[in-house]
Amino acid sequence: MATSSEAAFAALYRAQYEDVRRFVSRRAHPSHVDDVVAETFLAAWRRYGELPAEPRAWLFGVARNNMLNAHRGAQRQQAVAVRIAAEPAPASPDRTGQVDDRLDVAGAWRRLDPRDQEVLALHVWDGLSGPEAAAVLGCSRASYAMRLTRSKRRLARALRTSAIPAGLALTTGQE
Amino acid sequence: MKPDVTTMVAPYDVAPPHSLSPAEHHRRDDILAQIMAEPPLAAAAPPAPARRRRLPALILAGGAAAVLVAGGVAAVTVSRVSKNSQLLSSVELAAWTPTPAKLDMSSPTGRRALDYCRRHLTGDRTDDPSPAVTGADLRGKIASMYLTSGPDTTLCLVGSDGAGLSELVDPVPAGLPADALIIDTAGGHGNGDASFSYVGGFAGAAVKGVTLQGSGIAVRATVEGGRWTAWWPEPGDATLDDDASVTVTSATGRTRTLRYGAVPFFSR
Repeated sequence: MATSSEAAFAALYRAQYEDVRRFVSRRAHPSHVDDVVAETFLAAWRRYGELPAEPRAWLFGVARNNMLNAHRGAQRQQAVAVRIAAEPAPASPDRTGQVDDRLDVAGAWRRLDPRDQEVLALHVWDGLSGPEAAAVLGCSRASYAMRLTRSKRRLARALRTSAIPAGLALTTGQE
Repeated sequence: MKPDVTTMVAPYDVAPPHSLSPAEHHRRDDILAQIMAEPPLAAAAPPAPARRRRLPALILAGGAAAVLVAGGVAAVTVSRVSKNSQLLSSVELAAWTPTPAKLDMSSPTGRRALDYCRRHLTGDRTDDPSPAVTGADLRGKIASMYLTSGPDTTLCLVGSDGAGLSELVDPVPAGLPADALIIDTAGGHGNGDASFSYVGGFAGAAVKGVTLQGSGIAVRATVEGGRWTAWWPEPGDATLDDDASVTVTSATGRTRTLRYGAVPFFSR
């Protein structure tokens, strides 16, 4: 019979599983995703009593460390590169034909340093608040805000190397 | 209004929200069962993880391993093994061969493997008297096969000692391009000399051979019935990482080579 902590952990696991899996899927080879997800939740299970009330950022941080550690045998890494889809989601309301037809968004993303990809992805795809993203990266909220601004600028610069329609200006969201 | 760069990037998410497939539900609950077979630690150490390690293997044992699929919703029941259990033993894995032999289903080995796979079928349990076997092979002492019963297909690896694993996999997608090579599932289990990894997926009709070549490992996959599968021991540092090569041979004998990391993963 499951104890109350087992039942509570199972509920937490089911509530967080998809978010963690998506977080890992953006960063790891598909064949490694299950391993990283399992190791992340194993760490959570082993430290269940220490988990914050809102554990998502904690779980993302552990998953990120797992992925960093997996690469450290070959070369030391400070950031985990984030993959991007070759094409935008067809049903996306944000898809604007004018922009997508002319800008190589995926190419620009791939030219970014992994540190920039990581900062941007936490904001755009992982849906974390500034404090949560800062916790994942192990930096201060102020530092994360600064890094996000810089990463947006570098992405805008990378996009400008693609063909830009006349009159279209790219912003970093800070203007 | 000027577009924000992050707004422009947002639709390019490689992992957008989606409903879990029955196979994904199964994997999710497999992982939970593996985790909860481990004792929680009371020590208040920092949460930073240690070096990557493999979780102890999960055996879907006896009649407890059933996925009941109805209307696209899966209810999964799995059993656990003790944390020291091994899925496939180092003795069994030591006899591994990089090139698979065809598994004679009428042989004792073939019958034993089929019996294991039937008893550990995942997915919707049916009374199908003759489930279809695809891609049955033998590497040393360990047999591998896909068993399709009703709408569900199970991938099995079965040792001569009766240990093994089974996993629910996705159906072969309709309209698969003739030269397609897609990964549907992959994973690793065990520790030390009992470590092994496997990969399986879909192969178009024109794909006749698949060979994987990594650091210290070369393995020829079995290709049959629109599926391909390969598995290999991973003792020591031997591994197939993203930079490993995958050589695909077509029916005409033409070959193409791609990075393992570039082989697309199946998405619904």
